[in-house]
Amino acid sequence: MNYDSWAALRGKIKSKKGIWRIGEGVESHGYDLINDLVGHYSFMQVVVLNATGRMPSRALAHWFEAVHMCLSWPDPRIWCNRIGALGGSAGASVVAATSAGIMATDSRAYGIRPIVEGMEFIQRAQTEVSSEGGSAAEFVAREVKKHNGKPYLMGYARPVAKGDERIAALERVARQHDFTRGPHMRLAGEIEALLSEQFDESMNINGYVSAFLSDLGFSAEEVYRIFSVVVFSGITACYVDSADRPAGHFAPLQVDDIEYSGKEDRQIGGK
Amino acid sequence: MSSASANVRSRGEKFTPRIETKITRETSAAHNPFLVEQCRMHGYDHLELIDRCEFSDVIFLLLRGELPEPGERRLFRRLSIALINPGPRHPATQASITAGVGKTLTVNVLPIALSIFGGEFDGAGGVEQAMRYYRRASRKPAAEAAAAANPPPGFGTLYGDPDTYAEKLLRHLLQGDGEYRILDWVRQLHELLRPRQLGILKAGICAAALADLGFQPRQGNSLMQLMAAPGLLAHGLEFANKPLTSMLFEPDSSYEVEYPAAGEQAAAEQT
Repeated sequence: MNYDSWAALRGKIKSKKGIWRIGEGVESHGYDLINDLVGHYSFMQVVVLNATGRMPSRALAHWFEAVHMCLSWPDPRIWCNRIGALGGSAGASVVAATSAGIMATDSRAYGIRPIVEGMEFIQRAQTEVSSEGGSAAEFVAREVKKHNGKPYLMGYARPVAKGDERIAALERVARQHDFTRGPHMRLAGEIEALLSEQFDESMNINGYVSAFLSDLGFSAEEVYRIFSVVVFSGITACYVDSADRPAGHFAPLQVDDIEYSGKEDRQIGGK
Repeated sequence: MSSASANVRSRGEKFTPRIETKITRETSAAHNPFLVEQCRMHGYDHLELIDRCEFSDVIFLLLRGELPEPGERRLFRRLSIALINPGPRHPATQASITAGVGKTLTVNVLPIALSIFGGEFDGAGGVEQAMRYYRRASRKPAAEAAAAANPPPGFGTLYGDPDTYAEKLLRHLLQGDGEYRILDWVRQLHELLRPRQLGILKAGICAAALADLGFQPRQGNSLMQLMAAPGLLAHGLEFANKPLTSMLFEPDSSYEVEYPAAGEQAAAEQT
């Protein structure tokens, strides 16, 4: 039957991740969660384990934690944070508001999806440039041409500002743990130099993270899963700020603050 | 702040000081500029809409900018009911029930269910792509689309076979008055693909009808979510007062854990 694979799973659960055996313990990826992991591994190591099935080194988990810090700004003008702040102002729960802000970062414009595209971009760039006769300059020229002469390369430039202070911070953490630059990071640097010279644009955190993790063999999908809630703490901060103020006091708008540009007044039936 | 931050420059983009909308025109109360005296939607007085329109008419108005003509009204209303209840076995309904029985805040039940309904498996995730495809491909005979190697967007199988209930819904929607060019083209395509064990999916029906009604593809996924919301919500709330034991919790004997090979695990820890 065409439905055999579904029928075989009726009333059953199959897992490659773990199980809670009541009275015995909790298994996670073959580890005893309570006795092997708690107190022995960091939270971020377990986050990466759950997302990829692989336990990273404590050093790499520390670097992942730093990325979460770099993307958790308590400024409510940032789009996901604004949603958290509006939730606080509206009296929504912290869970609802933070979750809503996280969902907003499932966006191609900012947040998590650009990192996925950044991973795909730098890995494709590496493949094309390392092929016979390829060069970073030719690759950049082709990509710019694809975008009608604009430097819209994933991992370069960023909304609102030019330059990205978070890269230096993440490089500092990488140096603390003796991570070295691999081929993807070297190529990312070459591309940045070309864009800087031609368009006054530089790498953003997305480009840096994508190159760093590509050098360590992560896939785009794995990175998407690891960073699924990467912005959450900044959203919570903005929620708390407005939730602790009187209701409706975050960026309130008067009726006249909205500009209407639609249809003139009319009646149903055209009268 | 650090020197790294000092190297970041604002792009100097001009953000609007006022939100502009074509949908809602509010008039403020004389004594308080935050309160509303009158509200119009696309030019119509809200109170007149209450007296003279059906709920589905005003949804149509909000998203299309015009009240529906009689034929549009009939199709939109029938489509809304056709998609109103994904049923208790749907993953989104299961999520709703799980939230309800878990005593989640009731205001979170619907967002939870709709988030899961955004997936592509029997859900709303594929409507936009199907709308784009139907609007373009339906200018040519359905036979040309049927000749393609891959199933067209909005077509496929559910649990291994063509979706019998989606097929029934498609035929039912086409009964009665009204000529719906894209919906009829999709029916022809369905008949041509049926011998290949492919059929119309509910997302395909939604896409075809919304395209006929003049909605934009970008509105498609969300509109299918909106139409399914009542059924998703009803099932979740049905369980909100029931004990935890009224929801599935598979016994250990039906739970199978299969960890990846040890070699794969060990290699990963070197990261």
